[in-house]
Amino acid sequence: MNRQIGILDNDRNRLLVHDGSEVWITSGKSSGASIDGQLDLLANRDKGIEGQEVFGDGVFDFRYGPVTGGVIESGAYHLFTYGERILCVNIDWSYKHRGIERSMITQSVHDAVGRAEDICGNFAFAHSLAFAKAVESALGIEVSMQTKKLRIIGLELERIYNHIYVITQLASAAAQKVMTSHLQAIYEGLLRLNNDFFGSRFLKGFNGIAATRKPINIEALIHLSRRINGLSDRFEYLYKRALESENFMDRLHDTAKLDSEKAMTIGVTGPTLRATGVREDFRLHDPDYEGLRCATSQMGDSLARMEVRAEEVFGSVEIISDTAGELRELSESGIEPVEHGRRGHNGTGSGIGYCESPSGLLAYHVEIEKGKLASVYAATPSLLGFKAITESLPGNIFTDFPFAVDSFGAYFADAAR
Amino acid sequence: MTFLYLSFALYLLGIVLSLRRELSYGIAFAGALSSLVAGILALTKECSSPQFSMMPGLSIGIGLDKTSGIFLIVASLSFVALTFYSIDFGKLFSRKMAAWFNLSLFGMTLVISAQDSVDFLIGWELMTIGLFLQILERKESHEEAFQFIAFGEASAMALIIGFASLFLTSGSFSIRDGVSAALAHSQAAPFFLVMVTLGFIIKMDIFPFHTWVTGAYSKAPSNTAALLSAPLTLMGVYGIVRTLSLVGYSTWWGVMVLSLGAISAFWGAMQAAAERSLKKLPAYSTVENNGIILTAIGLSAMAGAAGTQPMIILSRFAFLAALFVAFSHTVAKSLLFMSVGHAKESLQEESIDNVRGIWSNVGGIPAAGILTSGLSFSAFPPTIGFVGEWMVLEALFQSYKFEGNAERLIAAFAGILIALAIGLAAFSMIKLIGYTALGPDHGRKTHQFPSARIKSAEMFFIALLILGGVFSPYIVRLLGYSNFLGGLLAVPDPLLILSSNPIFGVVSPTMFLVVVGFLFLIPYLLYHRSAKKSRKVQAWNGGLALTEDEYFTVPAYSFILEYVLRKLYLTREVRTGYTAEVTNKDAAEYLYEYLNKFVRKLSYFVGRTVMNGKISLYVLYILVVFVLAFLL
Repeated sequence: MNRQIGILDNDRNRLLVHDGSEVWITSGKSSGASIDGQLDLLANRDKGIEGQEVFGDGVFDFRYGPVTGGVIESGAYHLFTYGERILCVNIDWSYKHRGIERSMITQSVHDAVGRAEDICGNFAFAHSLAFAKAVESALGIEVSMQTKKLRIIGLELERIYNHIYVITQLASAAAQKVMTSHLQAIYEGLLRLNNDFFGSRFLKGFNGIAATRKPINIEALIHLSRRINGLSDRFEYLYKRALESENFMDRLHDTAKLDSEKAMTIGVTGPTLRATGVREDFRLHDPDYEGLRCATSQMGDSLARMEVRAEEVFGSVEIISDTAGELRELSESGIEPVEHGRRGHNGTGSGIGYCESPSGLLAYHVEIEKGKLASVYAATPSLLGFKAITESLPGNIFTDFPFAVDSFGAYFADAAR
Repeated sequence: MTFLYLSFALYLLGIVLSLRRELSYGIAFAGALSSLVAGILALTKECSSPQFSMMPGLSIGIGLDKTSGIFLIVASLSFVALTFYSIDFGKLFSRKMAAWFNLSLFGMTLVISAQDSVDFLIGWELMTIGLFLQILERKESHEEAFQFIAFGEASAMALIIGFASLFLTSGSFSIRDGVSAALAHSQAAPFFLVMVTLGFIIKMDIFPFHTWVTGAYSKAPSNTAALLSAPLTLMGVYGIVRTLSLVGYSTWWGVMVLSLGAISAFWGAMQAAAERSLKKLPAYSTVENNGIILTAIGLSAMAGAAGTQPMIILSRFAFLAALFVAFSHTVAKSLLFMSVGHAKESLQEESIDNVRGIWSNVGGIPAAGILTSGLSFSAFPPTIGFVGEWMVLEALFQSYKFEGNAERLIAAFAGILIALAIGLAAFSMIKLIGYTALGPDHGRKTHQFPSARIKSAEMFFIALLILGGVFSPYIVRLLGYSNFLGGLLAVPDPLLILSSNPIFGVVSPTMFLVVVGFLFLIPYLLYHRSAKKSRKVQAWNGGLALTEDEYFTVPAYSFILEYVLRKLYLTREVRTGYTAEVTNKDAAEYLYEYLNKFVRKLSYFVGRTVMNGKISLYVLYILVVFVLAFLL
């Protein structure tokens, strides 16, 4: 099923679409659009999701945000309710819109990588990766095997700490104080690990166009495997205990439920889609991820999304351990030393780059003229993640709100750009 | 007697001069003052009119003894405030309203002063008819008015049957002393008790005879709603008390009314907590308060029937509690209806949601009226409502003194329901106060009308509610219950109210005011000194000012409660397209819906089979009815 993720022109003629395995551009008329209002959502993505309202005796707009304890970023949820029961949700992330794509235009492809990272701190590596892939595709640049392996490590590290962060938020919302504290310690350990090996707690400033922007000590990767396995073991212990907590499970079970049909119609990807039983992951179609185990769950609720994320943590740890070993072997064999630094890329062309970010498909379309960006379009997972929130939250109650919203792993910064 | 005669004469004059509304209400005010004086005088000296013998066993006359004096004082206080209030408020309604208003006051005064059941019933019917005609004052109020009269006549029928059995047993229509011995030992006593109790509790809006209150109270003008809620239900309480003086205490009757009262209190408070209409909420509060009164009377009867000295003390204290709650309810509910009526007519709105900001857009006095009465219903010290409800709970706490486990359990269970009712009442009153009196002003335009006397009446009752609470030990003494007063430690005699003798529980609203007032004064003075350093800011709402559609609504306030108790509220969440709402239904209404259906079917059946135009069948029907009537 083809799903739109972007509109590349004002007339809605050129659409960015995907089918779960690859992303391409198609004409609006032949996109196989199956989603009512999806193009309107994409067209209004700088502002948010609005226009859905419920009326009636006692129904009012409970605004949560834009600067409120509990909503970490600047954005507002408009929850229409007659008390406790959520009837309808509008989301306003316009406060967070920075116009980053526009600011990238006329910049060199190298300078623009940092801007892409700035879109969303949590997904900094995924943004830099998708953007770099788009540029590399546009200019026909080959990427070395070792750089590809390092990118896999970076992306999986980002996936791990994001998933741990989401599970920490869920535990915190359920007042699982001890578990939350332990998870926060693991999360902090992961950020320190990022810093030790990539020079940034949020993996910024490392990935570049066809190369890394910093040199890396291959020997240190042995320690990376050991440390990440240690953190993973601690997480596994906690996670198994969490699954035994009826109180915690009760808050997640049946909360903000989506079925696979609805999820596909919304166009959401990533753990949210996989939690509905759909085995879709762009890494499955990436030859560098050979033998990937795709974690899925069936229920489509907050618990299922947490289960998928937890399974993916364990999967990512394995990938990192294996990849680190392969990198060391490559390095020892003397083939392809890790490239770093900037090279002149002054070509012209257009291209699409994408990757499976922690919350789903993240894609870039770029047009380059003589090494300078002429057009940038970032299709982020949070946009559709928020759409999934507006579709799944009605019928739930206020106290379900954090369990619902946090489980989707959607961020205003990512959606608003 | 002079003042009693004078009050009757003034009410009649008020009816005659109803074409001049202000004068008519003014005369009613004088009549109310006169009946107040008559009531006060009756506390020290009984009085009676000449008796007119109509037939053997039936002598008609009026008079006042101490019991009727107490009730006349309470009712007259309400009359005084409501008539003065109506001098201005009555201008918003037709001239004939003044006549019906006077008529109902005449009827109620006659009920209290009647010495025989015939006078009593005449007064009962006059007040019912007067109030029925007042409810009809508003357009499209026929259904509510007829519901009121249907229940009113059911009450009257029960009383007629009860009083007929009284006559058959004692050979007298007297409802004063002299028949008690004959009746108390009669086999007909239970029948009499059940019938008159039924008649009176219908008037008291006791569950399940309360379903008419929301319609009638909300449709009636607010001064009439106050009459319906406060003095009218007080007549029911008076009837019960008078009945007890005739037949004495019995355990089964005590258990019956205690159970009905406790259920009614809980049910009324529960429905009030979910109510969204400005006048329906106080209507359900009436159901709750009368339930509490009935519970206290029931406990008094149960304890009195036990006969031992400690139980007699408990019985007297429970009875005192009933009198206090009746007094506090009459004053607070009159004030509440006066204040919400003032706001309703100023803003021309019905729902609590739409009358927010009364303090700033209607005025401080009606807002203070809602605040004070609401606090009294929430049992907030030192109001008189606090004293009354404390007394009821203290009396119920002493249920362990009953010898039988069944009585203990029943009284304890009633105590649980009453405690829940008081909690729920506080919930509903906080809603009413928070949204209306102290809520944010949405800048709605107010409809201006003369209100000097409206405000005066409201201020009078605000003061009475607070001062009545503060000086409640003196009211206890005035009622003749000095043995429940004392002193302890720093609290001088008689400022301490005792719930038993020997001491079980104590309270002193007077000392509460002194201590809390002192404790409040110090921080207030400190605050006042540093007031210049403080600045007022808007409450943080996510960084943006609230828009009109972002305010928390009244239905939202109580939704959680409705959802948790959805089996009792019969809550339904209705969603149709882009509209959604929550609906509740009073389960008691089903009873009358079924009754209504049954009567319709029966009418249809009789119409088809007997009254179908065949003269032979119709004649046969008349003959059968005639023979049955003759035999009976």
